[in-house]
Amino acid sequence: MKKTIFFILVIGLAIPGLVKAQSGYTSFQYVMGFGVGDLGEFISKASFRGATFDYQKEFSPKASMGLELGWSTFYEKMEYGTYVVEPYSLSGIQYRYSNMFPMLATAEYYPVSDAALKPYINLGIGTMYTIRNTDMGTWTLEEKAWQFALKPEIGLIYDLGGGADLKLEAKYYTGIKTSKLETQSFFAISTGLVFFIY
Amino acid sequence: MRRITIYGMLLALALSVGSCYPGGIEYYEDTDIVFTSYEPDYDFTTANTYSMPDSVVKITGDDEQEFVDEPYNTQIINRIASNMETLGWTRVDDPEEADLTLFPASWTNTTIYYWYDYWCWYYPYYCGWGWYYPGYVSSFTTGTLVMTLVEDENAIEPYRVWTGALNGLLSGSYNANRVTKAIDQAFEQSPYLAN
Repeated sequence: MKKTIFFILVIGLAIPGLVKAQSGYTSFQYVMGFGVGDLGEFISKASFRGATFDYQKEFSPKASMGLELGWSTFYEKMEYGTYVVEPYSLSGIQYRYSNMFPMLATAEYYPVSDAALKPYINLGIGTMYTIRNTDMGTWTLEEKAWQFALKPEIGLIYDLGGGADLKLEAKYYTGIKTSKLETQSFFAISTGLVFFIY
Repeated sequence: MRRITIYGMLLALALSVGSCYPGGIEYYEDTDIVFTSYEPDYDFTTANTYSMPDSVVKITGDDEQEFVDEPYNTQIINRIASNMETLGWTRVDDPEEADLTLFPASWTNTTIYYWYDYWCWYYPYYCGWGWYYPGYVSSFTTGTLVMTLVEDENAIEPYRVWTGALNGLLSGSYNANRVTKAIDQAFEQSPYLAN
């Protein structure tokens, strides 16, 4: 997992050098997640381990399209408990993990494009890969699913000067239910740096 | 220089975020699990006596008969008997006079799926039926204690009415508290055994 997040960020570092002089930006965000629905029931604790990489190519001063790659991991150690599915009972401490990897095509709109504080709205569509583990004793139950995913987002980009801006985001990820996993949703708040590409 | 600084910060961020991936099990006891199951069609209220050997067999995969060392063996047997008594059962010596027979067995395991009709060592009467036990595959050593209640009356094969299995990561030394706590838990989560 360490390799995954490292990989995401290293790709982000490489892309600016590969892209020719085009208007757009890359950004790296630290993400905090709050599970809701099935994810929130599985893990009630917030996630403070997450990151996203965004790339946006501007098509006009007010609109851009791009790509978002992310990773958030949710974790909770449960109290010792007994889980019953008649006629079976299993007692122990459960360690629950859910790793979410959104991979989205995104479109961004800037109502005010020439201010130091630039608000925006962003819509993402794509897929979210989820790896959910329930560890108990020396055993693990692993569930994996690719889900069709949507992500509405609002945020602010603040001009720090010197080629790097600060970005604040509030977004909601939803991976639609599949035969392997219920709908997985979480709110996310993230912040990070934006690097413009000219 | 500015670019190097920013990229350096990002690399540090990648390393620091990656390094705080959540942990998990911290202590050997955290790996202890207790599994129980029962036969839904069996009426436990019709039985109130049971027999149990005085030794817990150690399943090693070899033909040679081995038992759990003392004083741990007696601790385990006494704990099981104490729980059964609390639930209203009477222990009898002769298995043929008992409504049910409780077989305790233990093993340590790393990779092997065991299949063993271990009670041949106790009672030749039971030989030949064979028995399956859960298979465990792992890259580390775990210890398992299995308790099985079987009914043999009018049965072609032993009729398993209850199974309690305790499993956990071995620490290298016997921890009586972990074992007794797990045995108690197995009976606590099996209220249908109460007479």
